[in-house]
Amino acid sequence: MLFNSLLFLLSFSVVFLLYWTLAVRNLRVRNVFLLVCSYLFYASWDPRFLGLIVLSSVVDYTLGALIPRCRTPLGKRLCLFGSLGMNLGILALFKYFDFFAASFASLAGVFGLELSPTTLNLILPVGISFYTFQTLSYTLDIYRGELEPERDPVSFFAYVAFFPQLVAGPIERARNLLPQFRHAQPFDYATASMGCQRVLIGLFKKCVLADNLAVFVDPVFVDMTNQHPLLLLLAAIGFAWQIYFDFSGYSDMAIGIAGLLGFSLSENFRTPFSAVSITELWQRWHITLTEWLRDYLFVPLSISFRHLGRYGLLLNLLITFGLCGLWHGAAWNFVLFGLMHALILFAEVVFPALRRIPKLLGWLLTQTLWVLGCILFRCSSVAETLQFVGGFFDVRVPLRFTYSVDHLVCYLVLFGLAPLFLVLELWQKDRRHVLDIENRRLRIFAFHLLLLLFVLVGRFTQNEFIYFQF
Amino acid sequence: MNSSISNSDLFRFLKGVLLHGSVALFLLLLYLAFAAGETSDPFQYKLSARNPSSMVCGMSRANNGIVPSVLSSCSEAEGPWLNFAFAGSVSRYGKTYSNAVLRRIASGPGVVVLEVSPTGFSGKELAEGDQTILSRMRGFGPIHRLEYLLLNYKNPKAVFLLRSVLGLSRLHRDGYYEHRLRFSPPSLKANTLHAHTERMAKVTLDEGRFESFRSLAVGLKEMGKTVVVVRLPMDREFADLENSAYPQFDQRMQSICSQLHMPYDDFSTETDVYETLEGNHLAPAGAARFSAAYAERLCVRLSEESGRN
Repeated sequence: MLFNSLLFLLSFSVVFLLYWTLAVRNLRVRNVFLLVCSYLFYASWDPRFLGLIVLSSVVDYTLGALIPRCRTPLGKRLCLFGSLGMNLGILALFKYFDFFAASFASLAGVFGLELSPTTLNLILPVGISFYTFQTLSYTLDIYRGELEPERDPVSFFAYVAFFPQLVAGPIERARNLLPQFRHAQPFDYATASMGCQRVLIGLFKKCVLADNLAVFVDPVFVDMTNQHPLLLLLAAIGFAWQIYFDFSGYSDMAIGIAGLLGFSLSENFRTPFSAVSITELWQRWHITLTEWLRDYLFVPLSISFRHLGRYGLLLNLLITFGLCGLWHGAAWNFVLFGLMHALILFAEVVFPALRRIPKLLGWLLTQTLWVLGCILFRCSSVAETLQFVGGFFDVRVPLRFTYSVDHLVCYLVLFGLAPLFLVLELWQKDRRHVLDIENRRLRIFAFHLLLLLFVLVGRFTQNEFIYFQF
Repeated sequence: MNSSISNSDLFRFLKGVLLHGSVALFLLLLYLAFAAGETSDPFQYKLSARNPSSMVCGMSRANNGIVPSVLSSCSEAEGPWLNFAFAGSVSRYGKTYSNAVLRRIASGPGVVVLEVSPTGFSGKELAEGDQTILSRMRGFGPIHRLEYLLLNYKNPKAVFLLRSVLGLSRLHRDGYYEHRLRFSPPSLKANTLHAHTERMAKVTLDEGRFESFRSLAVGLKEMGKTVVVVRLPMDREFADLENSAYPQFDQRMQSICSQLHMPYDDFSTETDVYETLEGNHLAPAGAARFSAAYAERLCVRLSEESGRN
């Protein structure tokens, strides 16, 4: 069930009314209600994989409770490794098994060994990377002594499966979200109103901006060998914008839906296209993942590699961002995407001159590198990426724009609405969202204009969100 | 106290959502009623008009190139007419299109023009038929208009407005889709030809589609229709390309038509005679001139047919 579907709108309307009129009167009933809704929401994709979430929740709840009770560090460590092994094992099996088997067979081929890799061809359970990282943060925080284990299993299970952010984040830490299941929040007009506004903005980003950009971008990537360099460049920029509007649109909707239920989720994006360095860009892009990787991977590795100096930093960045790439998808182009960013980040640290370049130049350089990275992200393999980049230099291909009224709408978005929206976001960067205007009448007018554009320019084809595949 | 504040807040919120939601819904309905009328969309009226007794079937060439109201000038061609041709993605001959045509047309006497081109018979059809707008519709006619809007119109609705404002295209009440090009770059013809060349190199003709075409013609005859077959004119480059990619096509059509006793008129030899949009589809002026010429031919064909009967 997609957030941008009529079915979700109708189901959520019922959930909202039942939640605030009945369920909210008793904390335990409310949490059970949220848990049932979350499981039904997930089962609407594929009920078979519901078992994985339940398993992950049971194991982490149990091990989380055991960690503080262990008297020896070894016992605590065993509990932690049990949690890591189970969560990462499931993730490896469903997401990475085929990739590693094929890569191993290719590597063996280099040494003259012909192996036919065993592949499982398993379906990737939607949202697995997101909820796995979420539950891992719970046991890791308890192990570090930064969090008390949750006693109420219903609260914990509801935290793991909380439907607004279950399938594509934000990746919520237990210390932020779990306490909200322990207290009943009364209905607050301002919070609900803000939630509603965030949902509308998210829907606009997805249906109007991202899905219209996709209509222009997708055919260019599919038939990349027959495209003029200008079209390739426009498609690469278009995809960088598409993925931003798609994913940040989902995050806006998740934050908005949670807000309508009285919950507060972490922000996932902060005007990433205003960044003047790649370091700054990662502080503004998919913030909850970046912070997760920083706290649970980069910082512990920094301590371990301290004695290696700059080489240690390079190694740390390569590991962290290599895994960040791999988290996105089981393919070498994603790994390369991560490694490319690791090298740029390393360069930004060790060459202070890079930090002193004029802001405009820094912005241009950052956005160019980001767009190049997005090509790796969009192509299905490294070879395809090289083919795409090679196309930038092949000016013999004639320039062919598709002319139709339908495409006119896409061009309107590519050259008008999308950049305008990005500029507006920058203009409003200190506000809660792009249409957070103090004057009430002006705000209502802006939202009606947004709705009008949504109806006129929106695509209601219910395309899945790009990040669902991760 | 807190609970009552919370409840009044909830009601205020619901009231606000309903109020603003209603305004948005009202504006949408207003827009759909005026800007998105049945003929501002290329498909809607073709699916929502009453069942016609005479029909033009085929793909985009027929959609843009045959004006039924001109054909009805021939006294033997009984109306009402409807151009029920669509585009390559929707109306290639096959189970889905045949079903739709047979469900769409009223039984009894009438004329059906089947427009043919190699593209209409190319590419393998799925076992369950082509998955198109036509396969998703439960039925056709005025009561299915809302069904069409809900099920099939998911693209930006601004296109209704843009089409009207720019005067780019209009669906006539006889189903003829008048397509104008306000901006026609010189590269358009070359690009279209390039795309056609690439597609024809990959796609072969499908026996199943020829079989569906035969069954459709037989089914229409059983309903009491006079069935005629036509291949539309185009520019020389496109005719040469089609004839070199599918050299047996014309012969094949002649053979099928003679077996089923259907007159076959091949206008593809009349290259560069009628004005086209990009070489492949007739422009409005070309469509009007061609329809008039074809109406004359049709009158002769129909009087021959009635003489034979």
